[in-house]
Amino acid sequence: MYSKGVLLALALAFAGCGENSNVPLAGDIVAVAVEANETAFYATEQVQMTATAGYTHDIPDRNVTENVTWYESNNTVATVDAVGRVSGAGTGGDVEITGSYKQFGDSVVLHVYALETVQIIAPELNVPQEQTLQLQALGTFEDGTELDVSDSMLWILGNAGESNATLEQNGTLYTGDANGTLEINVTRYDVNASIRINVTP
Amino acid sequence: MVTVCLGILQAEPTVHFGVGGIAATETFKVHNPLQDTQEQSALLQGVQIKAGYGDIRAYAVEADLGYGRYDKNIFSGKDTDYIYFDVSLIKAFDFDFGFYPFFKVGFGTGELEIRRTLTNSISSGSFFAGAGLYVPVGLGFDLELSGIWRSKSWEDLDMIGAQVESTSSLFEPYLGINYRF
Repeated sequence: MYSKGVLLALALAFAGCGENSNVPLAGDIVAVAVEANETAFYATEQVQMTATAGYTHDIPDRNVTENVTWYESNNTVATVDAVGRVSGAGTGGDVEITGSYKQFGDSVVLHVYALETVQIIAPELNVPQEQTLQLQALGTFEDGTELDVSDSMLWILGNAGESNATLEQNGTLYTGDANGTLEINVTRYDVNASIRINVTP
Repeated sequence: MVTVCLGILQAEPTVHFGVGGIAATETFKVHNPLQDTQEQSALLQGVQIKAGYGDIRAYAVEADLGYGRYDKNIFSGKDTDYIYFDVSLIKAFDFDFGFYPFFKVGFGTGELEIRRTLTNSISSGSFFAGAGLYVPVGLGFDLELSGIWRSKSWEDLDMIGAQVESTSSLFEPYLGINYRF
């Protein structure tokens, strides 16, 4: 009786040893694809990367931008953050941006145009006290393109002295209540420009 | 649990070992992301060995180690070995019929070998309850016939920011033989 039981058990086990050929019920991942909303951009701008997972079983593709790990091939050209936002880092050139999840990954090569020069444009250089003046930073990139980079630069107000003059980070200058000369600087990526505004009575 | 332990202490407990097999149709429910739940049945065939302590006429505790295969792929294109482990509490009765009916409840865990892109195994947890008979055949041996209803919950499968969620259930008939010292 014992041997019959063992034989039955073994028969049951070996009956299921072949490989199954049906399509599994659970879907699986096919690939992760990465794309950028621009393949070339100016250093003061940003590009948004998107990662999309593709699946079997007609499961709709899914945006997995915030699930993948992003990294750049050269952080002197551009850097990418955890949500796939790419920012120029100063140097122009090509940079490969990769989004990966375990063994899945995909890359896109982006070209960054470096900022070469910047100049500050002021509507006038002699301005009365307590006036507001909109300054503009005009950048020139390595491909010769000129763009308003006012919102991308660091604006610095020098030698304000006793004056209550202020300078906002979009280039808006308040001349304050004292006569004198205000020195305005803009800088980014070691590209600088300066201008002097004379505050008059 | 306390009742079982007290029952074992009051009875004439012995150690027993057993071997047996199961063949059962298991119904899977798999929920892929952004899709309706899908169902499929697969035949599970397996063998298991067990060790227990207790009285064939009263209470016992058992641990089972099993190996099985499904006749269909559920979680991947190559589902293969299923190893499972159960712990059971048993209450048997002696009605002088020449066999001993029993109830059993328990829980288990298992691991199925699969071939997915991100993992090669999926684990399961289960609860079960059922009933059966011990039929003594002499020389310390007894045949065991039982059936349990088992509910399994399977590990979620990674789909990158989403999961495949799966459950299954089955009525699991068992035929085996035990030896009691």
